[in-house]
Amino acid sequence: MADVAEPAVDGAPVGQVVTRDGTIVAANAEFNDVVGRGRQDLLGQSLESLLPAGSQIYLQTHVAPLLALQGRVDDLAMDFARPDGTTTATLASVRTDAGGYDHWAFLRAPGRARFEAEIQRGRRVAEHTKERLTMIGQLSTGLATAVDLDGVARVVAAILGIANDGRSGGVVWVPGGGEAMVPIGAGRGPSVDSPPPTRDPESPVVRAFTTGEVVVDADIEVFAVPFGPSSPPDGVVTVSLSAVRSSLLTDMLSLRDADDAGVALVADDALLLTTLAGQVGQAVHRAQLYQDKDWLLGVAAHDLRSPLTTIGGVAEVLPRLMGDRLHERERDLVESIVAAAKRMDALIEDVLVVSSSESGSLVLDRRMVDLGALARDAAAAHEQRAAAKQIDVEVVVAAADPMCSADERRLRQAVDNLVGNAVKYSDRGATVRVMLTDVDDAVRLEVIDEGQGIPADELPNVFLAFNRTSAQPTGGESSTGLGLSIVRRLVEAHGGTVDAASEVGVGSTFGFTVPRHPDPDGE
Amino acid sequence: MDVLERNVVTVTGPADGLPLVFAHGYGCDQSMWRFITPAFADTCRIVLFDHVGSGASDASAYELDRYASLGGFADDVIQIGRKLDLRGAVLIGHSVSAMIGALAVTAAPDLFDALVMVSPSPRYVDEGDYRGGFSRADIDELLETMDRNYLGWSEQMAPVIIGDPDRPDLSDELTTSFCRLDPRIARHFARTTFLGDNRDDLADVPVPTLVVQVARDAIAPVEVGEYVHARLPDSELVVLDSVGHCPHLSAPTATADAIRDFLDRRVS
Repeated sequence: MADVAEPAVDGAPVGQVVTRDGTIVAANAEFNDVVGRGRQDLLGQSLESLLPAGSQIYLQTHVAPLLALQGRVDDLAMDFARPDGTTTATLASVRTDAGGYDHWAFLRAPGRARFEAEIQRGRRVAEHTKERLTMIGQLSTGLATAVDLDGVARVVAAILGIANDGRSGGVVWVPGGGEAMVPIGAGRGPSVDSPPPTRDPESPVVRAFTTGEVVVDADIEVFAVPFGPSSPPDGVVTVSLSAVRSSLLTDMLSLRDADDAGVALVADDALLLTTLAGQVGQAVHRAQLYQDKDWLLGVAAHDLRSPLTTIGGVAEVLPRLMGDRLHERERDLVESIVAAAKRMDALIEDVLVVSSSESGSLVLDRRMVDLGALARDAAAAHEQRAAAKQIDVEVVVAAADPMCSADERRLRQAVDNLVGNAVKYSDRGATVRVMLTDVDDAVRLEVIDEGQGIPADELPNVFLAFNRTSAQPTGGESSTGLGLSIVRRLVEAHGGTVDAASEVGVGSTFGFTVPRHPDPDGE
Repeated sequence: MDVLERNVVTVTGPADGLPLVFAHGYGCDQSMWRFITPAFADTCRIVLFDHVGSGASDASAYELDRYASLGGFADDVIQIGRKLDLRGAVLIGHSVSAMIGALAVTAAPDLFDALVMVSPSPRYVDEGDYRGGFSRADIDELLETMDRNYLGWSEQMAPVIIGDPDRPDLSDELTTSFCRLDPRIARHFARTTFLGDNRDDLADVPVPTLVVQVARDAIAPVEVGEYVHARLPDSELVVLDSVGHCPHLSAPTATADAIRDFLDRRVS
């Protein structure tokens, strides 16, 4: 043993063994104790023969290559079977010296098993929680874009991986009571394996859960979401119920989630599920408000129009009434009141279009309309403004048949908007071309400008309401950001589609295609 | 995902050299070949890769169904071979990859001219008269040992600093990380490896085969090597006077010599 750099030392606090090619060449007294064998029994034995067969495989397949490649391995859990039938749990480390000897150290770790079990459990709970958090994140994102209660139900069902077939098992009440019941999931009740909720069976929450019935209590809005992600088919299920009282979460039933490790949910899980419940509740609330908003918008717009008519009407009549008593400067002021009233009226009209199309109440008065004539009218309507910027507006009717069934007023508004935009965003001396072409059973109108163009990353959003691109009107004109979204709504109300193409510094092409005749199945 | 990326395939050596495809065994990755590839680097085209779920491979590509049997892994090897447009290659597989190699050369004889099986075993669990060396309970104990070491294993994967004056060829690598594996995938791969039975596949191997066995290997004892050699249609058995399951790590020179000798005589 003269060539062994550091022999095993008796009295060391760890079991020490030195091996060469797996054979024990030195062992200290502590190691003898660990394995329950005398030193003479150990010398010349292979270290792995002291381990159970499964551990031997582990040693040869996981540990030995790593030791050969990097010269050390730490923190191995190795259990030695003693001749008396007991097991010694150890934490082991090993390193290879320059002479090719492997120096092993074994620290007894009697608490290691329990400690590991706790950490394993903690790790599983953490992974569990991480999954929940991911789910909540997805839920928040999904719900933020859901604008109707059906949408909320679909999003919740999709994310929680449960069938949205409308059967009982989970219902959502909008705070305010009973008006918006959204069946969320299939009737996955508790499985025979999961214990019943540990609450008063007469509580409305428990009744809702156990019977699947819709339960309304005067004080409590019951909010139940069956919560069963990736449950195995033999029916282990996780359910969350929370009682929402005046939008505050006040209650939470105990839960049982039996995954294959039998992990019961802990307080942190309950907190997460509370958050989940709150998120869904808020989203439902928001969806309700959103629907109300449209109605409010419509009402406000109509109510605004009435005094506006008075303002504009009186202002128009005033110069005639006043006659010579109105001097030129005052006449100009009155004319600006009339112009402002008209602008405001146009804006209210835009808002009403947006509001009514969104709420589905946009009614079309259809007749056969000559789209070419609308294009020429639009060019004429913007002639003065275009001339002021020395912009040429050409109309090219290349369609054999420019007629289509449409609400003339609405479609005129759409064409007008596009031509107006093109003029607004074009530079001096540019050309704006309005082209009409046939496309099968539809007519296509394109407005092609040589304006500043729209950056590619902004292009997908141009038809969204209140969207403003980085492009600026070239004549100091203002923009509400509603124009293109109105074009889209009006065209889509006719069963058509809008599109846009653009290149910065070159120009843009805005177009729409409308079917000649309405779809008999309705739009 | 591209096959070569998925399996972290590396190809070195002369383009017209004899292609050698090295398939690592269970529990580690392609780095376990580093001690013997230098012996072939000048004359052979060296192809190294990691099995899906091992090393730096794309773990997300590990499908439980595909890799529930060795066939899935063999198919990956064939995909790599086709992607690299190999002809007349030699597949060198260690441990479970010896059998993976057997399946691959049988399914794609157009790619491979020869097979080298290092410490092979077609079945680890005893059955009837067959001695694989282990019982079913032993394999369960292996899985438990893996579970016990689940926690610590990620710490093992921390990069280590190589500074071995005896190995100047490694001096460029300041830090590296060997035998990376996802413990959960390793568990599944362990079941596939140690509970499988590929004895019947030996008779179908259509190419000359070298079986390299270690005299004192508890995982693949010499008896198993002899069993494998007896059932292969055209094979040679070399028993190295060494210890352990990884002769390419513990006795790289002897292993490389045995392989080179076989290649010189049996592969054009």
